[in-house]
Amino acid sequence: MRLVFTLLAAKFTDSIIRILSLGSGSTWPGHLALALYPNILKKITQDSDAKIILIAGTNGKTTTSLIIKSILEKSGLNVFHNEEGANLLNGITTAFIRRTSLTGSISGDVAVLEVDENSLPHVLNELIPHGIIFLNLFRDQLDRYGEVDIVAHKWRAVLSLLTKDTTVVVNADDPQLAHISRSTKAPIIPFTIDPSYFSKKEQSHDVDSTYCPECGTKLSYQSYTYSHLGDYACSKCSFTRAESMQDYSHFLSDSHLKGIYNAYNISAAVTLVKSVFTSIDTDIISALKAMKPAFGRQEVIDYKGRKVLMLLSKNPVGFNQSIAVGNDMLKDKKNRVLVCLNDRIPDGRDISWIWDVEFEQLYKEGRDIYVSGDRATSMGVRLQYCTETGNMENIHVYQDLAEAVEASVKDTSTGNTLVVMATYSAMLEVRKILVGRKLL
Amino acid sequence: MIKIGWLYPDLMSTYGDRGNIICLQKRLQWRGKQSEIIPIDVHTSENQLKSVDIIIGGGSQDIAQEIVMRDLRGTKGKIIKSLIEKGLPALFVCGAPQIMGNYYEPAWGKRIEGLGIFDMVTKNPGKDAERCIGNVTAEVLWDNVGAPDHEPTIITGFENHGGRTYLGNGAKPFAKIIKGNGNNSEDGTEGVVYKNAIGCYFHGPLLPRNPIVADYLLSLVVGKEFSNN
Repeated sequence: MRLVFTLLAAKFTDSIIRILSLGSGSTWPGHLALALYPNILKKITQDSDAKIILIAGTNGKTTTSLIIKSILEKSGLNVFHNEEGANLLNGITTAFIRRTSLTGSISGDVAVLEVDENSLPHVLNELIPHGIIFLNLFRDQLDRYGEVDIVAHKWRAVLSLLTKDTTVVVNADDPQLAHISRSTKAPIIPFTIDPSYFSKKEQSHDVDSTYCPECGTKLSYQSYTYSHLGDYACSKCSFTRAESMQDYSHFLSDSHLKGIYNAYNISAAVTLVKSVFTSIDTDIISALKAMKPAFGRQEVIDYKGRKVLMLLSKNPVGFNQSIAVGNDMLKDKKNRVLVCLNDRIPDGRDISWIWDVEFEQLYKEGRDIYVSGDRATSMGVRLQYCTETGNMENIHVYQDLAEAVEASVKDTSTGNTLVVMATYSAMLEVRKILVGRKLL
Repeated sequence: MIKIGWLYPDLMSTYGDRGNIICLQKRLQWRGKQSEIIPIDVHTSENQLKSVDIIIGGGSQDIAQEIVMRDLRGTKGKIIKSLIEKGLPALFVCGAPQIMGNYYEPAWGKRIEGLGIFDMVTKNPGKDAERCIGNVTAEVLWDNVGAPDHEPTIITGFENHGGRTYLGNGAKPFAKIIKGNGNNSEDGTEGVVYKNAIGCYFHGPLLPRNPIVADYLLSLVVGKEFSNN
């Protein structure tokens, strides 16, 4: 009776929010349901046949979820997921409530859920997933998540609770993730990407875990892909990269996605669908060909005769990867770039991390860079310190975001591309200016 | 060539601490002065360490801090201490001042003895206690820094620390808190000064955000004329 009442109340709230188009619509129904029935997720998932897939990691959760969903749907399965941004316990609960009848049964074959780093222990308290992916662990919003070691500590604790019912797909190239995954009794499938991506011999600045998690000695790397991901081994103890790894990164060329990070996302997603499900290559290829990027993740928006390429950039590693993709686009001198920095709650209040980003790589040719966002001035100062003389004539700082968008679009030749690198809330705002309506 | 000693670049650079290095190098470059970075880490020789003109240190995670301390407990720590006794300019932000103090008690694990350069102790009240997180505004106490004639300076930054720091009689605070927690959210102090070494809980890019402090440190390195340029 309590379950029926809770579901009814949550579904009613959900429809009101949808009808009125209120913000944060994906979190409130779950929030209410959890208040009325704290173990509602356990209750509705334990008797269901629906398979549950969780995706955890600092960067790439949304894109990886979308890839898995697209492939499984191509194979004819009925898939549901939590909306991007609603990846805490309340948002995940909402995703289930929308698919649960008043009798408590779930309609759908698979739930593909991205999970916030800190929420993973709470989610795993409530449900048993069939598969879980650990993509990577980088520094991100220390004011919200705390230090990388603290997140790893929490994940290690939950991993040790998993049983053989859960397949763990883990990035073999991230030493810290590889290490914590050893604490589980669940079957582990390490994944990597093609050897041709292992091209960097020098350690970059944006690394977090380059010391042996077992004995504290500096790890020796044969090569890196990016950040601290690479082919590592400890020179002192026996800690080393897995010997047997899955690699499906060649499917990247079947998609519209770019960048090494998407090679990882695709390799992880395909490793999962092939191990937990029985997806076949033809379905994988046609799903990837048809898949449109998740919004803000290499999404292209047409605006006033220009293409706007949106590169969500939330933390040092993500920003450096955006710069790599952006620089490729900016080889065409008629393309332009706009960098937007906000410091609202979803972005992280602390913007110190911009000093860990290699903006020197973006600035290197003295190209014009447009700058905006709530912290436009701080971003301008960061770029000023890329210059040889302190002169900011190439750096165009706009306090008003709409003005920045108009100016940078105008400066981009018709038919060419404006590359936008933006933190989360800034990305939503730019999108609103371009598309003319609010999406979330 | 001005030599900037950077303490453990890949272990003590948790959140934008590199900004302080970039700031010093560029402000020198913009005035026609060259500099180079000397990483102070497990591979640094005693002579290299003794050659630096200024030392900069940033924040570290608790686990990295242990690795750092293991290395500093040898002769390296003693050399840094004697350099600072002789008046070498230094800036330690975020977690770095903690290991330069008398000791640090982390959230879990045992007490870590510091280098004793700053007469202060830091205690983490436990992993369930609230961290001190947020934007900070403070006024530099130039009297304590040793530049009583310096114009008044308000500095801004961001703090994010679990530990609470208490100064002893042999150390003075670097600044007075206007908004934020500072050393311990009790006594209104922020950071610490001893001779020409400054410690500060502001983490990350203290210097590019507050170029007056950057130019003050550089004036100690290259001469008084610098601060007027």
